[in-house]
Amino acid sequence: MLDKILIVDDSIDNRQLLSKTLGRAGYEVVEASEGQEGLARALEILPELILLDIMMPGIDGYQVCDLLKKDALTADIPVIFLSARTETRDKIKGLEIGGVDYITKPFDRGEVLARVQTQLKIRHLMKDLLDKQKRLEEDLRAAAFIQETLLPANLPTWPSLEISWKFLPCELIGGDIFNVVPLDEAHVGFYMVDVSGHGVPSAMVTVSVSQLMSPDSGYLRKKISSPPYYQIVPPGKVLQALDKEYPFERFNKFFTMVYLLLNIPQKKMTYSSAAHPPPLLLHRDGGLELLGKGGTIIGLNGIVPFDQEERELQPRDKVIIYTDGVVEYQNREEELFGPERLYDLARTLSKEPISKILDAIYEGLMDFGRQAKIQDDVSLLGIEVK
Amino acid sequence: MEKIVVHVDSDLEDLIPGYLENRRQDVEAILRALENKDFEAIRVLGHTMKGTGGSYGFELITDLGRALEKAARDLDEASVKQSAVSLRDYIQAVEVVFQ
Repeated sequence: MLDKILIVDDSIDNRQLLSKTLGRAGYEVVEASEGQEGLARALEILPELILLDIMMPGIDGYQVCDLLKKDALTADIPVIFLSARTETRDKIKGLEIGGVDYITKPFDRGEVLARVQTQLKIRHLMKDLLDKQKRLEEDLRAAAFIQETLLPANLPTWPSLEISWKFLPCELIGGDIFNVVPLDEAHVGFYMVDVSGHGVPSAMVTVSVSQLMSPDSGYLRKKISSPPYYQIVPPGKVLQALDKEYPFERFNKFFTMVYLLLNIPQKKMTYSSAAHPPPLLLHRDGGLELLGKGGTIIGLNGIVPFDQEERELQPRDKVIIYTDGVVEYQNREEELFGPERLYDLARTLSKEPISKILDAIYEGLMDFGRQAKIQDDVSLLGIEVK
Repeated sequence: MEKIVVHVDSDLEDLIPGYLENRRQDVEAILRALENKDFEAIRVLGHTMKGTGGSYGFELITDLGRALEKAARDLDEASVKQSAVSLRDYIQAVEVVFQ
């Protein structure tokens, strides 16, 4: 399809000359003899480029350009001013008002052609770029949708447990993942992963890890030859296996992680951490403990063993797991939210249901940041023993 | 009157007669406007001429257009008349060679 060029000039001599020149060069040319007509034709045909005279009866070229730029339909059409007004201030005004070029009259036809071709090339490149960006954004949204399906959903309910969570990726898709994994009637696993960086590469690693953190992958429950034919793998061993599976060189990524295994009837929790921010154990009376046992980040091939710890939970105890996006959230004054604010909030609300505590942490973050963009994914997973 | 040869691109051959005829009409319009002391009309005609002459290959028409525009701004009747007469004489004398 031929590129359409609109010529707006009150001089029939100029219009004829330009039409002939551009027509011979393979463009489809449409003419308008004054400003209002030019605006109407521009809206009607949406040309690829407009050549615009300045001195015309009625509204002048500057006003036409200004109106074109204010209309969303015509704002992105490049405008080249073509005028016998040769003062530098005229050119500056034309460019400031939105023109992409300014050619003085009398013009050289070769020069007009060359500049038109340049602007059209830029326009086509921009359109391609915007198109690609749109497709990329669509793909990212699709990926975000898929990643969201890996978060806790359709969880079975346990009469003695309350579970709540919050997730805010800093880009469309994130490097955080967490989930709740029922392992058998008595055991449920809770994990949270924070992959270094964010965006697509980190998100893809989270997907890979989440596949292994499923009951039948062999990492959380391993098969044995005697009834019940499976054995629950302790958290330290799970992290050890993941550390072996994800050396840094595999994806040029490392990640922190915490894995909690809860024996529901016994209310016993075993956990281990791979350099993840220590989960909070919040008691009903406001007492707060940090669950800090574990080893180093996943990816360093076991240079530090993944110690684990077992704790007995009391009724109304809560465990809050979070990623460093929470405590490292910076407000506009570059102040960090910090762990102490998190601990204080949790202590203050220790008697509240876990969902309310996570809501309050989230709101506390937003109030603190005052709409500052989050710099890293924010993940919160809360467990309450009833 | 001695001919003035102007070389013009051959692809403009069909536009030249119309262009020169428009300039003949411009001379008449300038002289009428001068009688009515309508310097704004003269300025606009001069401005347009300034912008088209050289594009068609007639540099002198651009120069005369510039002179008319200035003379009109200065309300200089004599200069306007002189430029208009020069333009008329030029159009009569010009011989276009297409190349």
